[in-house]
Amino acid sequence: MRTLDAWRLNRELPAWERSFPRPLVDLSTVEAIDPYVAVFLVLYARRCAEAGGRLRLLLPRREEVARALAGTGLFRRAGEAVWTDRPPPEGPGENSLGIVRVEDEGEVQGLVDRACEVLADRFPLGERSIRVLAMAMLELLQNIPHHANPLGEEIEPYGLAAVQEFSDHIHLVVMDKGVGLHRSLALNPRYRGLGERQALEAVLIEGASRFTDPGRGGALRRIREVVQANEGRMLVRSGGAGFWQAEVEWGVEGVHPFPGVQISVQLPRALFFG
Amino acid sequence: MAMGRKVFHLRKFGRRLGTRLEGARAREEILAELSRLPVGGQLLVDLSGLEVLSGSFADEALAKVAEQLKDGELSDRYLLVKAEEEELLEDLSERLARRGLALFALVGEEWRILGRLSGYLEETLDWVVQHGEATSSKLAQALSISVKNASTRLKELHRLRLIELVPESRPVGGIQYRARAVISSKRKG
Repeated sequence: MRTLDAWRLNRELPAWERSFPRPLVDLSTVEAIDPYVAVFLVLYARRCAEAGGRLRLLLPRREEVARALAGTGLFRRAGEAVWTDRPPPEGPGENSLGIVRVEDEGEVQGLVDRACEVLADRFPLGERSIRVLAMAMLELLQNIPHHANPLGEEIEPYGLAAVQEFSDHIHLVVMDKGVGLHRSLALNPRYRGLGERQALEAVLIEGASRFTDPGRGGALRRIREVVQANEGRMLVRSGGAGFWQAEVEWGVEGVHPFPGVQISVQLPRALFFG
Repeated sequence: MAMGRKVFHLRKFGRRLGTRLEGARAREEILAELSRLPVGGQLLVDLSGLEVLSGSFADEALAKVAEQLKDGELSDRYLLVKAEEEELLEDLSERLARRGLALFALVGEEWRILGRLSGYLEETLDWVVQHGEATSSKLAQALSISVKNASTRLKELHRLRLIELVPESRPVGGIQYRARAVISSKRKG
């Protein structure tokens, strides 16, 4: 396996799930790991631990790949919830854009400010690019406390976010293991009868919301439009449905069920020099 | 016309404004400022220095205030926004439109309407801004519509807090309303 990204993860997940809550995830032959996967593994480790198991990882054989994985903050964040076949390398230092936990709306603005400042230090972000990235982060991060557990059920949504820069794009990942878009949207009587795929489409294309207040909702649709306008890519996975957008094309398909909402937004780096 | 216009800087809440929580805090302050204005007073919310104004923050801080004004609260107080760049206003405009509201925005030397305003109301507002003021009879003549229709349009614009309506005695007896523009800029962007 060369690169483990969101698409590959969707294909691998059913096999991992067969040994849940002690899945064995073999990363030994992986040569690159997408930040979406790194964040997902933290979430997965948490889910396994809550079910009384433990996520087992075979680390990448190539040391630089294992270091890059540690650089995302995966092992620091997952802690004892993950077992590895050898001690993982050192994690990220200060000023990292590694995986952060999102628990409370009050901390969202600070998290976004810090992420934007780190990015601005690393390369010159244009005003427009900051606007696009910060807007997406602000909306996606606050969605976790707003929507991941709207009825205050006995679940821990465990919201996580990460930003990573690549040579050709910036990758933003936000995810949780809360109730998911389908169940959240069903709180609005207008959308109660929708299936998972229809719910995802309603949220991302129509701007549907669990609220009846016309001013609420629409953030995911807005981000999708911004991603499209900037020739980026977007993936939203919720429950058993996955929405993808690549430049102007989009689609919704069935995926192996997983609780919550997992979002990947990739914006071309060219935008950041505009 | 710009008498009684107080400026409220949103920058004090940060450079990147995004959460509903922060937006609700800003709304409380904006409402308090509006309530302290004299009758006919205007609050100009200045977005200078902001990098981001998310739809969520904009909805809580500004669209909900505009909705309260439309619903009749804080009568004869007016809310406007000012920005250096139009792009910053996009999400605010979208949220206003979804609530069926409209708000004046000053961008540089020009003005524009954010949100949603029907074509006939926009035509009426353009005329009032261009001429500074209007009575329904004058407007009816200028736009070739009935006086009743002109009067209805002015009332609707007043309900949206886009014009002032000032009562005055008619020479032939009774009361008529004179509409006054709340901005003086003639250039529409």
